[in-house]
Amino acid sequence: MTKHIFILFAFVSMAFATQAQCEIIVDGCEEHLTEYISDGQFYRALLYNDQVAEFETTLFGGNTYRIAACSGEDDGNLIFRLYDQERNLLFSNAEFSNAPYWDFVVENSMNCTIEAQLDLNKQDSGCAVLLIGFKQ
Amino acid sequence: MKRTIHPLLATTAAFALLFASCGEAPKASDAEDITEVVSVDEANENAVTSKLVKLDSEIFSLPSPVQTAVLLSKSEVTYNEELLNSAEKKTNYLSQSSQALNLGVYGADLAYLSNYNNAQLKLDYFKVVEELATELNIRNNIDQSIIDRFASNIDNRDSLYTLNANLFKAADQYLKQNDEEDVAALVLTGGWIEALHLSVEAATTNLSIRNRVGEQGTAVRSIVNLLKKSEEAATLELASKMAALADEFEGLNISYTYVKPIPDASQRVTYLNSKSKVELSDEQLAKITAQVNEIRQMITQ
Repeated sequence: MTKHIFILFAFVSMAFATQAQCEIIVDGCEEHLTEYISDGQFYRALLYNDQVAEFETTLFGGNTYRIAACSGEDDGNLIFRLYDQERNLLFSNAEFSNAPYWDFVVENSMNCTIEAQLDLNKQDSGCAVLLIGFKQ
Repeated sequence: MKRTIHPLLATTAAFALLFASCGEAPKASDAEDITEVVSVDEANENAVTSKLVKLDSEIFSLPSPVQTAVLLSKSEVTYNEELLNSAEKKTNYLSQSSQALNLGVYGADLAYLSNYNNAQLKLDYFKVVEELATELNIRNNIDQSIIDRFASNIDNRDSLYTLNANLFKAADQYLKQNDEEDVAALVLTGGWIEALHLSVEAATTNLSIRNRVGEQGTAVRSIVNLLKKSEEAATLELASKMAALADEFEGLNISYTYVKPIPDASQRVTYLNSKSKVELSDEQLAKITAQVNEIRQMITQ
């Protein structure tokens, strides 16, 4: 029982620390969006192990988008992938050393799914933050 | 060796996680997340492949009203003040939900006004945005520099776009970090419907804007999914109206052809060259316009 209480205490401490961590991560992540106009939204999820967070978005033709993906204190802890509506993989930053941001020049509008997942070689739990900016 | 976690411990840990991200007790919509966290932990014990966590109470994406304003500017759409929601109506909005919805509406109007030369009107609308943000307890969490820079950049369209976007991102961040995602969803919904309202008239004569209107199907479906989780009658009624609007978008003919993207690692850019086309007839546009106007009237009355 004592062991369970200790583990529970550890969980609670970790959860609060993770929430505080989210706010710090956003500040760092925003630095990747300079020269881009934010889409006005803040995407975050608390992830454990191999959990994958996903959401749908529309990338409009004629725009250049920047997606920034951050977790932890250093760049490169978060893997993000972009799929089209037919589930074709359009991009994975894992193919580019977990680049913390990437630009997308969009010719025609596309309905996309963005997935985010921790790189378990670097981090096994924590706050994942995604930011999206655009310019024409 | 297979490790197990005591069910009570796993459940309590999930609650602890939720409380850490919440300023108040979990809501009905959070129950889904609790179930998911626990079930994922249990599934992990069986060492299966990656788990998809649909955190739709936390993560959703809607097109930015600023992005619409940029398109309207690029398309040289003529200014029409009658399209705006009068700043004087701000005092009508007393409930939290009406304040949140109309914060989004006025934010979209402000983005629209950024395209034109009317400094006093921009300041009036900015004041309304600031007041509604105060009433929703968001104002103190928005960087003062954003507020200060607004007035000094009143004639700089690009700066106003950026400041508007940053203001609403700060509001979105604050609301989501304080377990007020339902309020965040209403702000985004108000902004989205107003941006569409500002676009539909120009869509009758401008193909780029017509296409943009026709490309809102994913957004309206996201809105319906968000709003229907509410326990508030007015929000559920709004969800019902939005669902009818979503049905109109379902009827559009949209084609899509995948083309392999071209990455350029040296520039950290990928060119997405897939082809898509949306067909929006005059009749379909008229139906969408009528429904948008009805929903917008419901929000701004």
